[in-house]
Amino acid sequence: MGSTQRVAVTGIGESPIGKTPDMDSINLYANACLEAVDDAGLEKADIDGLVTGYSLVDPKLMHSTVVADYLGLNLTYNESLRLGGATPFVGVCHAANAVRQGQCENVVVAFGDNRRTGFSKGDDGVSSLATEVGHPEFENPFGPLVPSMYALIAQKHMATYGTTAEELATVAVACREHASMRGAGQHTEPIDVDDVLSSGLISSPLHKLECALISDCAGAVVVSSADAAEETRAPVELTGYGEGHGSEYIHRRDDLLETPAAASGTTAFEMADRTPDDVDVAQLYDCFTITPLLLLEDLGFCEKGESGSFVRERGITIDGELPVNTHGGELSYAGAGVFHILEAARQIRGDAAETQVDADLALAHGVGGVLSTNATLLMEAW
Amino acid sequence: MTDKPVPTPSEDTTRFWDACNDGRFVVQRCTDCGHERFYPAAACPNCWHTASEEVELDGSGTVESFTVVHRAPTEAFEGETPYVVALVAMGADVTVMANVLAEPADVSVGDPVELIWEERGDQQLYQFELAE
Repeated sequence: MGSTQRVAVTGIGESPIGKTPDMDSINLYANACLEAVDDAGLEKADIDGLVTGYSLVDPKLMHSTVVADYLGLNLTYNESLRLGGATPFVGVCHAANAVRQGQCENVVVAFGDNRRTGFSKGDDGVSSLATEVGHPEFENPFGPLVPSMYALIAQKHMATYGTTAEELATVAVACREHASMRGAGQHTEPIDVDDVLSSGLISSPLHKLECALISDCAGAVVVSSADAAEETRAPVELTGYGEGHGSEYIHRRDDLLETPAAASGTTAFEMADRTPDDVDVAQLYDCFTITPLLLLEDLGFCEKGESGSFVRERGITIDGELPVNTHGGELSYAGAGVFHILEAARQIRGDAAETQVDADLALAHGVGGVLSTNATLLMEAW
Repeated sequence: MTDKPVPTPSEDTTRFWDACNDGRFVVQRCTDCGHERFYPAAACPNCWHTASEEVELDGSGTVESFTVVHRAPTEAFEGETPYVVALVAMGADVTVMANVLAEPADVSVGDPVELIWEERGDQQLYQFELAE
């Protein structure tokens, strides 16, 4: 009982990714859940908790209950979360808390959608997403894209600290290098900085190859109590986690370059009794190239304003000082942050194949909204 | 071709949009802590005091940041690209999103801008142009 009880990530699973026109949103969720429970070495009867996200394509009033119904689950913990890209990361935090309070033993945390093929003809998902993020009265009348929200932050970072377009592009190149090495994901052909900078501006300074993919996909993890973890195949300890939540709308930000990642990271590192220097590999939410830059700063991997030189000089590929997004991230693997959590667990298990790092401590960090809502997870060997 | 979105006033925001139609950009100043809030709301986001007084801003601002949109979010904006979406600081507490109606290459972070009005349907919409 209490926060001293150990808690584990015991299973990871993912659906087919990319275009899955024969699978709707619930199919994808169910597929990932079954994979994760099987991966843990658990069975249906072992699962007494469920946290799901939502679907933009097929909204449900009580999403997690619909998924539970579909899978025939009887639960003592049940939660539908709607915090954008941070949803599965916050879901893991909540699942860990529920497990530690003794409310449940094994919680499946799942997130996905069929945004690539699920929207009606003529809407590739971009328009639907655009109107979900901006303020309907005080932002959307001026025509911002979702990338515009992050572009405003990127432009400010460049103007304030001299961060360059090449440094931003380096993030996309590193993610692609990892996806290419692994040979898995939606985009695996290698790219260089020139490819990124010539891919066409979407919303300056962000180019097409600096924007996350839009994918049909789902991912799931199982979070288990210490006792339950002993019965599983390959548990990984969740040694720290934390949340930080700020303003939804970018025009309300006191400082465009400060994010709630500072709060979520501090909480997670204190819980794990670790520091950023101890992190061997980081899976950083990469909806756009500017996002990992701000996260490197606010999670304490470098000083404020130095993330551009960090990626250029210290390096974020597996040969660099801090390997980032060793699966390829949302920029190359698939457009959902949940895979960052799976990849952190894989790195600790030693299952990361061609991009395996000698990792004692792996970090995964998720972002929702416009760097509005954040959660940090830290994983170590069981 | 659809029309660009026209703000739909809520109970909180009707007074603000009506003032726009009179050519005035107004915000609520908290009568307790003095925080000027935008967007309009029933309570001060700084101290939660509910009483406020209306103050008119002078329409001058500074480009806090900007982006040039090259791909329209919806059909209504397709004829407009490339266009500038900016965050404009209009005071210590008030930053707004709007378009800066200028050649994109002429806009920089830190530029002074002046409020101008765009007629959008039946609504006067605040926009900005580069200051002289």
